[in-house]
Amino acid sequence: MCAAVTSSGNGAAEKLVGLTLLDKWKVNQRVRHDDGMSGSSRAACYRAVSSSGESAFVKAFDFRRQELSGDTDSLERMVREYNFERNVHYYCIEQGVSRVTRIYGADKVLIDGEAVHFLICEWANKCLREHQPPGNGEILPSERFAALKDTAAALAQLHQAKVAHQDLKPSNAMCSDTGLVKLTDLGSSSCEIINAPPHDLDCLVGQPNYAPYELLYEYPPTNWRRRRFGCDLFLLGNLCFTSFVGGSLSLLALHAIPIQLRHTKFSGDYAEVMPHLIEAHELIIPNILRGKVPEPLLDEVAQIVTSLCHPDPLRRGHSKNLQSLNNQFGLERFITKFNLLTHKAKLLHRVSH
Amino acid sequence: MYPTKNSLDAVLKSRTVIPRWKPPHQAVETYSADKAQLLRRSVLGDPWIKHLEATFDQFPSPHTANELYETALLYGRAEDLPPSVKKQVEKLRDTMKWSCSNPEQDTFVLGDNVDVHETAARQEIRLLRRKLTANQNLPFCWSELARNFLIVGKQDKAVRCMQAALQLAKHNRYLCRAATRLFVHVKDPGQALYLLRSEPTIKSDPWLLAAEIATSSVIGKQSQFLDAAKRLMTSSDFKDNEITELAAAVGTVELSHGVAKHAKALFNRSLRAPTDNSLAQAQWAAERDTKIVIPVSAWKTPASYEAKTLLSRQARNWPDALQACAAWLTDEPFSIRPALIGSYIGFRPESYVMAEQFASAGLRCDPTNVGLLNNRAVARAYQGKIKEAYTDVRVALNQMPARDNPHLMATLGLIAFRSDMPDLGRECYKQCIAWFSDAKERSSVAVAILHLSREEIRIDRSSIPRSIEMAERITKLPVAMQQPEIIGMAELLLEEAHSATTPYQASHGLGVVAPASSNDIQHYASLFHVPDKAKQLALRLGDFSGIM
Repeated sequence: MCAAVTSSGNGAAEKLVGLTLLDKWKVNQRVRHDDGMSGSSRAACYRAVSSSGESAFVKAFDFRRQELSGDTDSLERMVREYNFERNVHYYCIEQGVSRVTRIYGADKVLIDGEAVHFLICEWANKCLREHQPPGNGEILPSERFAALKDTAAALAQLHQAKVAHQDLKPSNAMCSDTGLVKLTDLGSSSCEIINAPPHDLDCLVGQPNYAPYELLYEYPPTNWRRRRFGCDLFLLGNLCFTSFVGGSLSLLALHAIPIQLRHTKFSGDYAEVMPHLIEAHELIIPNILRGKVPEPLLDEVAQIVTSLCHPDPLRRGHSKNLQSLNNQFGLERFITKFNLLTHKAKLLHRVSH
Repeated sequence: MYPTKNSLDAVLKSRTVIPRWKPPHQAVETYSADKAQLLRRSVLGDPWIKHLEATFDQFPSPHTANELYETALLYGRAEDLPPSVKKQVEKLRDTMKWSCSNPEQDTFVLGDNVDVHETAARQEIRLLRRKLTANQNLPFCWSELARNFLIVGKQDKAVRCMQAALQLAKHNRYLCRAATRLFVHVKDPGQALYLLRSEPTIKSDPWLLAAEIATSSVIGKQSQFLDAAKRLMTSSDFKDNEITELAAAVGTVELSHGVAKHAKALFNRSLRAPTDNSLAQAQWAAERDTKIVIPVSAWKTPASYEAKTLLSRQARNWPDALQACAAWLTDEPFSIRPALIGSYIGFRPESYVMAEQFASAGLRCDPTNVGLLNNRAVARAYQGKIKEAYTDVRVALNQMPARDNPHLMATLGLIAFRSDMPDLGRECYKQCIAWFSDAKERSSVAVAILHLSREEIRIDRSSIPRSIEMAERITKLPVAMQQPEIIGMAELLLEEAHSATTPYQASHGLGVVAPASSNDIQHYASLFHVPDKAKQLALRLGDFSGIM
């Protein structure tokens, strides 16, 4: 994310370098361009620095391109997505959600007579994908558990504020200088309070290779919380699995079930596939984690992944939470577990060295 | 009592679309492919692949490559990725030491070695037990363990394992149908019906409904869901491949009721997109009602070994029939039907070894099956393994019901002939032919006469003209039209008659060690419960012209 790139187009949004935004942030480097999911919600991303040396992440949207192309549907969707992302960031500040990269401001700037809308957010040096490359055996397990604990805590904060992230993956967990992990990219999120963004109508939100099975099979639960928070729980479990293994659990499990039942071949009832996925989990999770996770911690980690990624959204979550009436998706117990695992892993490391 | 429960006639007389039980990755009931829906679903991945490609172009790290590769693989597009991505991914996965592979597909080679299932099943049982010891929460491992236990003839264990599977994955269609097959196999169709009828989706799931109707037919009762089945078939909610077994099941019921017109329409519906099971059912029905015609395209159905066995049998193409039957047995190693049919249609000298293997494979699942013991004894006797053949007959005769089986008596006659006791053999054949005749089992009469004639030719050249005449008469009988093996055996007899050049000599019997004394064989012959009427008829029998 911090590597500089050259401009790839000549739209107004590509010309922010050198400008000072919100009278504070001087845009000094282009970091990437983001074509969005449909190639239409084009955005240019920059690094900006304040006079006090603080860095910020700038995302500039090029609505004009859509307007000129005459694709008003796409334009409307893009504007609504932009508005939602901005609103949800402000809403998180209101709710005191501290473990999400915070928004510094949002406004528009005129370039060559064209309005360019932008968001300015907190800058994080590295994402988890770069800071702790998934599957890399050189990373200490205690560091991974600590990052997972922070991620779970961030998700719990979001859930407390009635926001579901829905696109949790190694590149969306950012590591700050202090080592604290914060979540970023609320573009795919949903909020119970704020008006639904256009992507709320889509069955599959978030990167498919990490997505929960019920969304890949287009069998989303009808209950809002079960669908959104259930998705987040799965993504957290998958993040834990991916961190140690290097590959996504969704993909591995879908390749372990009969080929005719994969989501690209099977259009029937998801309930038919579920037992196969449950069995695949039972076989895959402990076997693949073995050797990647310290042996004394294997059962605990496998148990966490199994309960967080349960293919049946009704049975997803901590076993004790499943017994309670209204807290199926509570993350507190997982935060405690990851915290405990961090300490155990540190101890094991100390003993072995 | 007639026809005997384990004879070929009995096996082929009735057939229902009781679900096939295959490993989960071969199960047909799990196929559900609405092309429009799947196309829409596969397109959902496109923008993500494009987005991740752009990300990889900007940050070509192994991890961005891996995310792109995983997403593309999820939507079956990994092949389209540029080599640079694949190279990065391979490098990464090499360091992580794991890969994403398809589950191993069962492969089998068609050949005459049909005796390998037990070894494979025992290996599989060891493997599955190890998995289940580590983790018991694996319903499909339990069902596979049940299937393998059935292959090695441990029916009680198979039932217990299946019950564990059903507990772990309630209301799963595949398991429910597999359990149906198991319960029918262990002769507990009531349990299968109970299971099916307690499924919440029984009235709306064509696969379960087909199983219920077929299982009801097995116990000779009419399903209470026939109306629901007819409603389902007129509904547009299901595709042809989902309805095929249901249409075949209802078609079979209509055929048994003599409503040929409805049966034909239902089988036509079934044959639009058949499964191997519904195709076999249609072939079985077509043998009984010539108005049912199977379109050529239906023969492209994968794994349609049973249908091909029946078709080749009708065409008297014995090598093809045996080969298809071997494949069928490999597909369903616990099933008695392919073993019985295979061991019966291997009546030509070049197939004796295979016939014995078929019977042996079937006997591993059901060691006391009289039909299989009889067929193996015949195959062994023709190969000169008289002692083993005699043992098979004795094992069969240890069961009381076997003493009501005239086929075994004919086999005892064959053993007597091959043990150089032609008079005793002739007497056994005479009695069993009279017995078959009394029971009006005309096809068995014809087969027994053909077997006897072959033995007569073998020991006495002078009987050749009479045997030829007999064989020619048999081929013209209406019963020969119904059972292709009769014509096949008559053709074999004619071939042997024309090629027989050496007369019988006393030395012919030399080298053959009789498995028992003539008194011993006579003792076993006396164990049969030959009806008095048949005994009297046997006394009056001359050269069988009358009986023909």
